[in-house]
Amino acid sequence: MTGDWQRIILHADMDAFFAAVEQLDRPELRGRPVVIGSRSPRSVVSTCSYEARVFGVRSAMPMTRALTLCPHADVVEPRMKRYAEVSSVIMEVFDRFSPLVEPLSIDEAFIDMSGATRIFGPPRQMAGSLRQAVKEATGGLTVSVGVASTKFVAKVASDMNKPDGVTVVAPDEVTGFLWPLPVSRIWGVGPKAQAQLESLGMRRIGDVAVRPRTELAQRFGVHGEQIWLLANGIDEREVEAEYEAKSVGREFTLEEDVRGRPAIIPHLLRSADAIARSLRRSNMTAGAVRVKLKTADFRLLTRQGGLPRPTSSAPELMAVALSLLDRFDLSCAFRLVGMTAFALAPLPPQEDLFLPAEVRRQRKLDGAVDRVLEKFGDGALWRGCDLPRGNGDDK
Amino acid sequence: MKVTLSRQCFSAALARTSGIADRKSSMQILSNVLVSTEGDDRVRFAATDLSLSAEGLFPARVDKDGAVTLPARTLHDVVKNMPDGPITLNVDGDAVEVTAGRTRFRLLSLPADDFPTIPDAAEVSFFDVKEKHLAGMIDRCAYSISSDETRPHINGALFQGDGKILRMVTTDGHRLSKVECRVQESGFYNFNMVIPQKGILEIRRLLGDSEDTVSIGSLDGSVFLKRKVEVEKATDDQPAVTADVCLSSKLIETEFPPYDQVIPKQQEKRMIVPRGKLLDALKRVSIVSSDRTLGVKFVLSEGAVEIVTDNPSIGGSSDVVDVSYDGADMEIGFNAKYFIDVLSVLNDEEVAVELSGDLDPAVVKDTAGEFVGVVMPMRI
Repeated sequence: MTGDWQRIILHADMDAFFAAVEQLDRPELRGRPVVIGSRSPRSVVSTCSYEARVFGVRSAMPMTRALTLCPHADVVEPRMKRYAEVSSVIMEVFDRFSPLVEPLSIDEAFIDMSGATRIFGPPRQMAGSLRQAVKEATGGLTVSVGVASTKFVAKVASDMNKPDGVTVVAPDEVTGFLWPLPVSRIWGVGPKAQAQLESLGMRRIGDVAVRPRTELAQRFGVHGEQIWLLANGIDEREVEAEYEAKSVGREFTLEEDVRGRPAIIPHLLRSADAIARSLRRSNMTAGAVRVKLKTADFRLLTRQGGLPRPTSSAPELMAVALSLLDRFDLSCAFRLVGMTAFALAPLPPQEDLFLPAEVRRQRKLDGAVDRVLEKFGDGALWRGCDLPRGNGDDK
Repeated sequence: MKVTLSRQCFSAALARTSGIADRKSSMQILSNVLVSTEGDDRVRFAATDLSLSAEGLFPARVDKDGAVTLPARTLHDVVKNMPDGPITLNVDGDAVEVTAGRTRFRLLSLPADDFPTIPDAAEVSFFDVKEKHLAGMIDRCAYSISSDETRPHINGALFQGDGKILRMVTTDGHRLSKVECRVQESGFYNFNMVIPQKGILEIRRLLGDSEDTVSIGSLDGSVFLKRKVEVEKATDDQPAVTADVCLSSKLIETEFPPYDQVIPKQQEKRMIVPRGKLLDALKRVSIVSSDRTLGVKFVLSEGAVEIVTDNPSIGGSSDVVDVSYDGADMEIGFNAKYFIDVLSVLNDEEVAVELSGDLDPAVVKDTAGEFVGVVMPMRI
């Protein structure tokens, strides 16, 4: 693996995402053929587990056909809200690796890690750390990663070693990698264009690449030129992050596992205080909150909900977090407690007239606390519930 | 139906009604004005957009009873351009002939039966108020009505009768104005209504600044304003010709926010400022403030307030106004337009500006004690 890596672009694609989430949440489904979709006669397969793929089941296949191929499959109705929750956990992991993350869908993203070799090591090691981090954060989901110096090659590469695989294509390996592949692998080549290219004797990407650029341009216009460029591994497109920061989170891996609501709350409050202060420092507000709990046996549980108004105040974040706690099964032991604020927006400079009095009071208190902490440092003020605890464990 | 009106009278009738006809509606008849006979010497003109309605009774010669609707705007243009003298309107099947001297128009009509019912003012119990008082209240409050139609509860003006006091309050969520008027006329007021912005503006159009009284009342979720308008001035030979005009507007049903809670009762700092000079300074300084926020900073020190703005993409500006102030130094940011608006509706030489903290509301008061303006600050 050599060559001059001008850019290092990772394409990370979760393996059988919806099915994998169901298998994660419901241990009885693990190792079984799982088909996500509904049983209604006109339904199609949304995703299926690798155990189902063995029987020839594929995404977008009519459900009736899938069940003919694999009659004993477990058909599971999709839970998009849950997938979105897990997706945001995964995207947060990606954000830790690079500020330049471009999500393509709920379960895949480009991550630009150019210039990060000193922190994360060579490309293959980067991909390995990323996969490990996703697995840890989600409690066991796998992701396949393609690494290349262009978005196009990275995306093709991530598909090569699925599931749970890594494919690294160094700049000097691009033609050797791409040229034997069928033309349908090129972005923007659908069945129609594929048929046209094949009728001209271009079955493989290499067949396209060796033709003169002008020939493709004359036959297919601008689109043809684009196909030729990609066939030659030329793709200048940048990884485009949507926003600078999409969320602010704080989580605590605890020295001792905690059980029950009263034991969890102080850690959430610590998260809320840190998040709120970080929001205020950057003049941002959050529109929603996610609570994150990891069980002692490493299952990751998340619940999220919207705030009644955008805020940068801990009590308002906390109010939503407390109502989210009701939606967890809190009977088991937890090793990690965390909170993330998202749906961030700049704080509007204009003050509102009809703000509830308690909100206005809290804002003033926030301002005073921030000034104290700024002047005397982070340890200058803390909440009563953060004091070293004696026997007052229930408070 | 056949009626004849003087050109002046006909024109005045349409001026009072055709503006309300709704040309953009998908119901074609709403762009028409209803013309119907009333006895043998008057003609009723009416128009509505279903939320606002206007009608008036105008002197006319009625040769034949009937009713018809005609496109309001076209009819108004026709009448304005007719030669002086009487104009006759004669219904002939689906078409209407409008003639004056040798000028003749033929206009297509829609049946009067299809015209929506206009809220009936007959059962309304009215009270009287001087038109200059009502006009003055609207003039000092209308600027802070929210134009956000998705927030109907503040997309209008709260209008209250409270014993001998008439009160009007408006807000857009960032600022508020309240004006109270002590009325000398007989009567005791007790009412509470929220009139939509469009209704307020139409009411204002019907008001002058004279000592004449107008009548107001409400019934079944609508407010009514009734007055006499002079159509033709008195001459040596004949008295002035007048007509009765009545405007009605649907009221906003949702409750107005609790305005009284957001007007600070006690402020820590008070300065007396020359209104005109502060207004001029704000207009000057805000030329270079950010287009989006129009943010300016008030820097208070003893005897002076400095207005400052910094705009990284243009530059900056500042101006100093001498004021009467002996409180603590402070800085507070505002949207310059909010302060310009409130200072512009007052005529006093001097106004009081009261402040507390830099995130607390500012209060602007006139000398007569009738007006309170509240402006929320802006973080700069």
